[in-house]
Parts: sequence; C-alpha cells; structure tokens
Amino acid sequence: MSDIFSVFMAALITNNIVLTGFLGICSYLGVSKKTSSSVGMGFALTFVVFMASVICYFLNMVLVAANIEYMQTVCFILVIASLVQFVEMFIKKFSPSLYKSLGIFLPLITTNCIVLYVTRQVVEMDFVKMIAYALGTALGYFLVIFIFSTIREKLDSAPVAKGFKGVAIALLVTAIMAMAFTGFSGIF
Amino acid sequence: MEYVIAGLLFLGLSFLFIGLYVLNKRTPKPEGCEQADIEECSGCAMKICPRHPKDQKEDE
Repeated sequence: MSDIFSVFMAALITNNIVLTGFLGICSYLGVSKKTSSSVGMGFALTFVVFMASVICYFLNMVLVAANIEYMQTVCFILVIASLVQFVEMFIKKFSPSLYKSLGIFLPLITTNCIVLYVTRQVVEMDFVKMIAYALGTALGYFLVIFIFSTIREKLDSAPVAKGFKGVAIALLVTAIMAMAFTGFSGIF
Repeated sequence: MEYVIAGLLFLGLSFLFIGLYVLNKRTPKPEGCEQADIEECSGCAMKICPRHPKDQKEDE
C-alpha cells in the first residue's frame, strides 16, 4: 500500500509531469490565463489520461500477445483521439452545462503529449500501480496549472516591466515553481 | 500473419476514430452553446488560434 502511495505522490509532486518532465507546456501556458479555464482543462485531462491509460494498458496486452509491439505508438494515438471524440460527444449529449465549460478544451487534449507519455509509461507496470501513476500524473498537471493560473491572474494587475509581459514572466514564474517543487525530491 | 493482424488493428482503430469523429460532428450542440466554444475561449492565450478573442487582438 505504501508503495502505491509513493508512486502516486511521486507522480503528483516529486516527478511532476510539467515542472520536472517538461511535458504539456503548450496547454499549460495557453490555458492558464484564467483560473476557470485551467480547472476545466485539468478535469478534462485527468479524465482522458485515466481512461486512455486503462484502455491502452489492455490494448498493449493484445499487441504483446500478437507480437506487434511496434504498433504501440500508432494504436495508442488512435485510441486517445477516439476517446476524446467519444467523450466530447457524450458530454455534448448528456451534460450541456459541462460541455459549455469544457467543450473547447477537449479537442486540445488530443494533442497533449502528456496523454501519450503516460500511456507509454504505464504498459510496464502492474494494474494498481498503473492506476496510481496515471491519476498522480494527471492530478499533478491539474495542481500545477491551477496554481499557475492563480499567479497569472495576479500578474495581470502587477507592475511587470514591458519586456517581461506575457509569456516571458509566465516562463519565469514556471521556472521558480519548478525550483520550489525540487524541494520535494527525496520525500517520496 | 503478424502483419495482417497489425494491418487489421490499424484499420479497425482508424475506422473507429473516423466513425466517432463523424458522429461527434453530427451531434448537435446543446441549446445556447452554438457560439459557446468561441465565447468561452476568452481564457486562451494562444494568439495563433483562429478563435482568439478580439479584445486580446486589439490590445496588440
């Protein structure tokens, strides 16, 4: 049990996918201008990462049994893209309020490299660890993008030098956050 | 035989994606959401996005 907890916490904080792995930076910078947007993106990504990990985990068993592991990348990408289409269709039909807040972010998740990275990583793990790792990684992204969006909202009214406005100050803040998160190394 | 299975798997997943994409396009958006994806995109900072809000473009 402590093993599973360590895997989860390491994926969430110590080996945070954005601040340590430098993945998902595009959506991290692009969607974090408002807190509401970042929350929507975080929820959507968490759901897609979790579902894609489970599906690809079992699909990989089929690939290994058929001796066609080289098809992993192509098949995983198709599964992720199909899952995002299905999720968007499902939300559109059964939850209009959720679609209104998430709708624009769902297509962005298809191209998010975090999803493909997690699905490639979890195939080597056992099922329970896979769940812990997938959830930890996705929630780690959620945590970081939420924190970053709250800081960016404050930066809008802060006296930032002209040359540092926009992406420059955002990247500086990200670098400082990354340094802060390295303080957790060795704990989990 | 492996190549046949690989080909069938690739084709199967491709058709699955195409089918879901077409179904998604045909699914009507909920009432009041027809323009929502554009109006709700005000949080996006991607300037190359064709749905970038006009007020951000005017600031440039």
